[in-house]
Amino acid sequence: MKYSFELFREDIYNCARTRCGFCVIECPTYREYEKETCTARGRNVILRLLLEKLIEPTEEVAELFFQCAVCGYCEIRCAVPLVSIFEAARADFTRLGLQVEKHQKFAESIVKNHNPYFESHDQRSSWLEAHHISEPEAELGFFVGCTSAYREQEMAKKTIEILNAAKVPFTLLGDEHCCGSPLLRTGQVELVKDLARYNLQILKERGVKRLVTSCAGCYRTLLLDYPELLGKKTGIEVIHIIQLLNELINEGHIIFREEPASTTVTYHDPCHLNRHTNLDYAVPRTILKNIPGIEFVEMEWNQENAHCCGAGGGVKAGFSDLALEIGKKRIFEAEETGAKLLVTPCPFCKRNLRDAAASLDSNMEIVDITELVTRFMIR
Amino acid sequence: MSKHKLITIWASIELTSAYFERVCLLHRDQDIYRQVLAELEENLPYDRISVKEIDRFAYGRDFYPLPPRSAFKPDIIVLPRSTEEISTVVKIANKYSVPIIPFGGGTNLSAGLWPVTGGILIDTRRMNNIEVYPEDMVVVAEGGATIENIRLECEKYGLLFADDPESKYVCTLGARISLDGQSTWGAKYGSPNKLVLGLEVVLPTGEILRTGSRVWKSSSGHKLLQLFVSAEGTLGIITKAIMKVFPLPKTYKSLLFGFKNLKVIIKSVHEFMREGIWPECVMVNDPTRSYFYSQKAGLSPDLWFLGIMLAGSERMVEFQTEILRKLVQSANGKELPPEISKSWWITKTANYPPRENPHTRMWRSHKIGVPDVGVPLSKIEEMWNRYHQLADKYGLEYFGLAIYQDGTVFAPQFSWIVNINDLDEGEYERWRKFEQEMFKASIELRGTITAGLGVGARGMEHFKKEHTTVSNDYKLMLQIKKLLDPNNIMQRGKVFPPDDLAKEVVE
Repeated sequence: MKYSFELFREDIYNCARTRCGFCVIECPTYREYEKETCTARGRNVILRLLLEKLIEPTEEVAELFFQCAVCGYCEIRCAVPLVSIFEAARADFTRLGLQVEKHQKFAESIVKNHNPYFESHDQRSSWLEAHHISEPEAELGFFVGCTSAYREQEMAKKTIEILNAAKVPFTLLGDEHCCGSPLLRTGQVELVKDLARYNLQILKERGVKRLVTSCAGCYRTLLLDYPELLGKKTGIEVIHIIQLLNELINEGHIIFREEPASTTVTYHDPCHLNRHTNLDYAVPRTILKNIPGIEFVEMEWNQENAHCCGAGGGVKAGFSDLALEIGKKRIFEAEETGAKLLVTPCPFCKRNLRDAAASLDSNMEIVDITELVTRFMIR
Repeated sequence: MSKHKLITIWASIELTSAYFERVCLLHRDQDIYRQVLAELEENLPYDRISVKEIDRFAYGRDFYPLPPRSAFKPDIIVLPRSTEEISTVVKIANKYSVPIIPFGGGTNLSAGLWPVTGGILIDTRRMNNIEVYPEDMVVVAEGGATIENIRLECEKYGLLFADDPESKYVCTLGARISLDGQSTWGAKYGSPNKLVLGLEVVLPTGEILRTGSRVWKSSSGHKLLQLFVSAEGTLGIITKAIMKVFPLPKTYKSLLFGFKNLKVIIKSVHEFMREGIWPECVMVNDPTRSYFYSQKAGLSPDLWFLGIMLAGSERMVEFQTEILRKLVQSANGKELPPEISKSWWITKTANYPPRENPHTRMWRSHKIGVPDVGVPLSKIEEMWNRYHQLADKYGLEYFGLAIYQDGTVFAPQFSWIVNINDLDEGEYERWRKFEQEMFKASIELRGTITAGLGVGARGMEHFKKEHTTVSNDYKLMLQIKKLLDPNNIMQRGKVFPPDDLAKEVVE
């Protein structure tokens, strides 16, 4: 069956019927453009008009849907699966050749280089250092992800340092390919099945039973999208690094320096990590509260109500100015807490928030949670 | 590409088509709009204007049922940031006699946002500044601020913003005052008309009017600000309001009781008051509306529900609860179990994710139509019977009646809901006829055609009838409208039948 918004006809009508508008106010694109059109409710009106053939799909219409960061904030107060609808609509626009050029380009790169960054596949593990120890036989696999492998290599290194320090045996997949998240989020679903099959194949070959990733996008894709795409369970337990860190801290494998709290830290919840997967919001907070050297403060908008960083859903690639503006708003919110450090467990959020902070000349330092943990742990 | 079915949909609904066609043709002259657009572009920053097709469509509807395969679109969307910008737009519109539709949260239930005659739609939501003055016990907010944000801002000062519509997450203050709709806390604090102290309004000529002050009580001159309350934007655009705030109660307690009939409920509420209990909220649901919950509680399906919200210190609330329970018992009422009560209250205050509520899902599979006709207390039962007869006559499934309180004595505001399959053209037309007959019935019972949602584009004829039969103030209203808005630019094609406004002399 074709993946299309027409599959969600009933839901689209239900939204257009209800028009409660609970999705409007905190929508990142609404906050940016402040127009009815740029809300879940407005987008559903447009989809209804498309279903009824009262308007034609045009580039202008398509752009409206590609601008959505699929952060899922609108879904908190909604019975309609809005994110799925908009992702499906993107698939329709892609088939009609109305996709964003940059999305098309990174898809080409994924096919050719197995990563969206136009980098050579040979260089995927170039960040590995001699002291990093992995065990090919281990049941725990580490899925590095493209952003960590090519753009935020510090994150990959820190993850390994933690695993090594905690003496957790793990294996690297070496020849992993892009998980497909950027394609799924931008309506290029057709290409992902092959990626899923390939990645699951090498995981099987390595005998991986449990797979950890430090990327929120990879986590959602491996956990939710792979089983859905292939129509069966993958047989692999997928966890995010924050879950593993939490375990290791609880079991005493990671110990932090006892010192007076000297740094104020705030935390940004990545949309793909919690809102999309229902992962417990308490997990990262337990980690932060366990570090004696920091004082953890919440932003006003946190957990389920956390505002998006602006990078997701292909927005950073396709509409970098929009992503930056949304990111700036989040930096302002972080600054309001008085924190010096903004922690997030997603390389994509980290990148965009860092770019936003730089463009604001903000002193806010953006770090990944693995970097924070390595700064304060004894072992 | 199939044919567009835009504003002509009214032609299939005999009730008002004649009015609209004439007015639509008159003012949807492309040349005029080109000139208007050029002047707007000259006078406003570029990001304030949109004529994109998708933007126009997205703004072209509200919560009122829209027939299948149909859509409206305003001609120009304006997104102003200040009162002065609105004034500029209104002046230009007035110069060219082009209609204006003020837009707030977009949840209007009376077709009050339908751009039936095209025109300039002004989205007020970019004007959302909120300032709380705890010493004066007022909040001053711009027309585009949402009720929820005003409430949250007031809470920071330990104050209660007492207006609380179910649409509070999106509903804006300006729209709220313009409709004077039902409020959850209406029983103690009243609906917006009782909370508003001052207004800033852009009049249809573009002048900026400021009326009222931060003083809670004044006897100085005409209460002009009340002229703009429930005027549905026909006399101007509310850009700022001074509103009363109250001390935030220490705790709340919600209770839910079941009674055999409405008479006992009304009597009981009066008894509560005789005891000195003035609840924050009193809400009544008829058996159909409460069926879902009485079934869940294993109770008789013909129970009327009475929801009471108390507030104050824990001691005070417990004390009142004790008395309430005794009174209810002596009136043969039943108290609903806490989990049922909680789930029912959640739907009333909307302070929750609706996805967790099965009742809301039921709504979503249908469009709801709400004729909110009001009748005198003694006629509620008769109206209730007529509501059922009419729904049966037009083959519509009734969703039931909810009664909200406005003021402490039993002063009802109504919401009589029917479910509509809005994909069925026949059913849509039956719904329109049903609604018109509900209006008619309310006038026959010497009531009002709308108790909180406004006249909009749905009930103009009966609006006129109400104000010429139940009362005789129609002529004066028309004179006021013509005095303030000589070119009939504000909300053209709504509230007042356009024919009456077109006449030179008010008869």
